[in-house]
Amino acid sequence: MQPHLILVAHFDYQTMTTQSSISKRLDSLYEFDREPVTKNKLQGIGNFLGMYAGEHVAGTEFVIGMLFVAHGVSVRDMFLGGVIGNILAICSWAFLTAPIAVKVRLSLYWQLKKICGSMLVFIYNIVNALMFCFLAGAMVAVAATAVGIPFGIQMPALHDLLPNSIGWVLTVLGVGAVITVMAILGFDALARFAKVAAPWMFLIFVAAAIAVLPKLGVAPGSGNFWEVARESIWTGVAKEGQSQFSIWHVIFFSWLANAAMHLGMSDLTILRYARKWQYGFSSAVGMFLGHYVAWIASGILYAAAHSDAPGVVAYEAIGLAGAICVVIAGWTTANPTLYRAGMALQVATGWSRWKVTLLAGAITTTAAMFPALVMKLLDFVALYGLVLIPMGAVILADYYFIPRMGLQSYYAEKKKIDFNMAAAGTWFLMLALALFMNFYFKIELYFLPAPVWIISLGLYLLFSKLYQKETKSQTA
Amino acid sequence: MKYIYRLMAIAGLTITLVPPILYYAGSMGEERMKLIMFLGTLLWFSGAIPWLGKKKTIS
Repeated sequence: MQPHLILVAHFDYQTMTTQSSISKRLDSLYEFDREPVTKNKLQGIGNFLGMYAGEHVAGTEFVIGMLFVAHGVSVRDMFLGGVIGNILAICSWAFLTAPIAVKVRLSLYWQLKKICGSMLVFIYNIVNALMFCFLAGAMVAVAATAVGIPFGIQMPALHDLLPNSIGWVLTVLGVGAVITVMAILGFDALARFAKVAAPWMFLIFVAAAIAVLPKLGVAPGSGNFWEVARESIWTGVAKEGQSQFSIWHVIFFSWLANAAMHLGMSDLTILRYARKWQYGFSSAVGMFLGHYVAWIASGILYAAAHSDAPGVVAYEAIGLAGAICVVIAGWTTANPTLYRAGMALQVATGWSRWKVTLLAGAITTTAAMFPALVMKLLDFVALYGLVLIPMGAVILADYYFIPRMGLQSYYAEKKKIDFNMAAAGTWFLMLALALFMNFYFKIELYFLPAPVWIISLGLYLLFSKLYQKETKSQTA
Repeated sequence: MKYIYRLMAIAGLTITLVPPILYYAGSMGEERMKLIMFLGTLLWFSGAIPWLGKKKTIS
């Protein structure tokens, strides 16, 4: 008996009812975008430029640029590695995600449902929700480093992984509670506020970096920026207790920081509104403003600071405007993340929106108490991409290669199955393999997503060949 | 009214960016720079929220 048949055989009536109810809840949640986007709803390039610029100048940028400095990235690694990595990211959006998005014009959810079936999408959503909660948690912690300044709380340092003081825990609880309540009361208003804040936030990054240059010894007209950068900012020597980064770390991290969106195909949901696949290149705005200029700016800020806490770093540089920027950056990044987590959890629990947002907020706030989320943000971001990208490879393989092999794409929809074993096998096996490579061979998380994505492509094709043949022979 | 909001927002952004440049050039003190940047922040949000807050974009 094939594994999927064993699975089906063990389903009792109650399980089937639950499964059907989950499927209905998922469908109703995404009901509004069930059909492909129609021509009259397509958007111009301006919307994409604005969206990518806003989305990638976020609270995470404060931390990532700072951690690159802590990991001993050199000047050349930062500037050259950043350009190469970001170009690779833009190409991934433009050549992999956008072409499928404009041809199919379906959201990630419906695309996955047609390929994988309801139950597998349900599991994917839950994993995604937990990831979102942890990401929002990191942003709550970032905001707390600014909110805690007037109370004189002991801020976490680079080596802190556990809560370091009662003051820190209480500040995080307060910030988490406020962010959660505001997400419940007015998600839409906050989402609009985030768009308003984005241009100002970018400017604050740049302005703060300029403001600290005299502290680092860069004088106007002296032409000594590169010398100071080499000796005091990106020194090429990691801080105590931090692993040493090379140009490869910068390239792979810059490329795959948003792997879930491009290689993982999450942005099918956005790019399906694009008139042409070339709109995928609009991601360049977000990459070069947020993942290049802002990372460089936050590295400069950190080099001039006396703290590892982003709030204190920004406050020292430019005063209240800097502290406000850290709070808003953390808050506006946590807000949509909480919303997305809530949507996924709503399907699992069947609760109303306010209850699931409260649950997501509670998970987020608890996670935020652990400074590890911020201080190990690079690892977490890499893990986030790694966990989700095998499903992006499944979508790509299903679109381009499955029909050419004489197999059926959208297999779950055509065969009316809720759990595509070929997709599930690919996902779970690749995650197990990645963890094994990380634990036993000590391959760092930053380098795993690219090979995992490529192997996932091949594995899904192989599994589909076996699985579709077996299913055909069972039904014959 | 929209014109005034737009003007406020742009002025807010400008006085957020200019003080650090003047400070870097040695033409402004640190405390004054911080104060003006804070005022620029208030001005930006006072103008930008009514100007850009209702604009519809992809989500």
